Amino acid sequence: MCGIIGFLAKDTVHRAASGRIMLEMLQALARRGPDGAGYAGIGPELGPVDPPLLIRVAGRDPGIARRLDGLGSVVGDGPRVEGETIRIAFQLAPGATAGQVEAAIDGSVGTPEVIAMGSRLELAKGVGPPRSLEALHAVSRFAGPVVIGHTRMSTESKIDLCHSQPFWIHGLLDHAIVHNGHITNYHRLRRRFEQEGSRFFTDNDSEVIGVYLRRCLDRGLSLVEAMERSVVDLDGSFNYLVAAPQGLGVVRDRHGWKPLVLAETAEYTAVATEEIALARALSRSDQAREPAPGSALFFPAPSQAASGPSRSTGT
Amino acid sequence: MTEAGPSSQGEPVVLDCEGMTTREIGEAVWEAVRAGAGRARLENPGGRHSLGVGLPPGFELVIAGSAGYYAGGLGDGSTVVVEGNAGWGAAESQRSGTVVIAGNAGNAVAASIRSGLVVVKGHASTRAGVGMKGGALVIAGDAGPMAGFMMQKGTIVIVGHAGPGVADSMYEGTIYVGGEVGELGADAVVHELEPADHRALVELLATADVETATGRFRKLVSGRKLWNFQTSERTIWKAAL
Repeated sequence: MCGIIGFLAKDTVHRAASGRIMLEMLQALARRGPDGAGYAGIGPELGPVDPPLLIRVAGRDPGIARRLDGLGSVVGDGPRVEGETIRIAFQLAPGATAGQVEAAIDGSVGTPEVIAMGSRLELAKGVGPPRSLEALHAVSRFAGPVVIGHTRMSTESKIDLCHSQPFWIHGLLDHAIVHNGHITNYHRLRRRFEQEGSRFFTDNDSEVIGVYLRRCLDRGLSLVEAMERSVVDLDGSFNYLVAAPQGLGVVRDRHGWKPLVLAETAEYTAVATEEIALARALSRSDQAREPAPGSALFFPAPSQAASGPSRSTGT
Repeated sequence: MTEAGPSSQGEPVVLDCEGMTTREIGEAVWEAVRAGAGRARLENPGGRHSLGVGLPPGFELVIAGSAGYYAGGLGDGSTVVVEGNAGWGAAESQRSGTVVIAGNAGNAVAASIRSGLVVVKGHASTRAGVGMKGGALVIAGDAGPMAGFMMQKGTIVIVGHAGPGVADSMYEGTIYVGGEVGELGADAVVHELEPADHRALVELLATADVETATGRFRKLVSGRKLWNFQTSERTIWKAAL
């Protein structure tokens, strides 16, 4: 089971409503898995000024921000506890890198995981059904061009916040994935990737998808090329979605083992495990169709300048 | 088959599914059946699963929108019309009767049906007509991979293109394809249409109320090489398994 949704807004109206639409889609799929829920959204495009890093850390200790001393300064209203996470807006000092920030927080064993990092990525997740996501994080207020969501039925790994989805792709700012299915060559891939230096933070097989994509990108492949190659290299049943500043990625395994429908209109692209999610959240779903097995589709986010004046301050 | 129909059935019972559980919808439809209504219409179905399942002979149900999984499944002489799309397993194991899907159908439409007619006016996804044991499935658009997989009897018409693996490991039955035929499934054999095929096809398309501009249909049947294991045909078996 598990339910996944993805939404790409092509106009200002849907961009402003993307958090609400995501939540409604996710709630329509809630009975596919009550063990965990989460979302990852790409916020509005940023101006030319150096944006702060948005860092989300598992746990409830805002003192974690002290580990960042010397790397820059906490901005906004300081480290904020939200649900079982700490949200930090952080301005990097000249010369400091995002990699140093992550290493300072979760670089050693036993430290709390950085569950998201980027300048536009908002990500929240936790144990429980989608409605608890709204109660703790007010996710319906999110506005932005790309958003993905997940409601989880745990089959093989722990039920806790870090094993919930979406997974931020560690080391790759502003990229996150959600997955429905089972990666059957997970252990073999993980062993190989770890031998070659990749780090895993959970025992959830879905995490390997992000690690895989990042390794492809490190080798110079584009995100779309990496997605296409994953159809061959990953075994098992999977539909996975990628939220990235450039747009929304949709990938199905070669056999189409898991259900997925996609609807594209002039105003949005919406994808979900079941059409029930589209029917609930969107006025029309008449274009909904299952993408072909083995598809690796990418829907680019239109630039805001090209699709009308929209200025959201974000959260 | 999709028109309102004669008044002999009376006015349909109209149910607004908004706010109802799937169980309540099912019970309300059966209440209409028991009351002798003959017809019912489900407004705002919202993509819900298991709508119109196991309905009795002569009963007509219109689902005024998209349905989820198993829409119209296990029908026995009923007519179910889905005015939107249908999810996985629509009309599954239909015993007799008719299911018409105005939009697209998900994986395994008409799986294992024994007789009757299933019509998809849009496109069908993977494994359409898997394990069919009789009856007919007519797809006005394209069919995804593995259409007719392990089919045992009956007829599938794909007016559009057939995806890869079509007619894989069939026992018996016939698949007509009007568009391009993707990579053939194991043991599938392509024939040209004979006059009798042509007549059957025209009749079936008329019954299904599906128009087709192309006259260039081909016929796919089982090569019957998988019926019995033969060492000399080990490669076919390896491919099939």
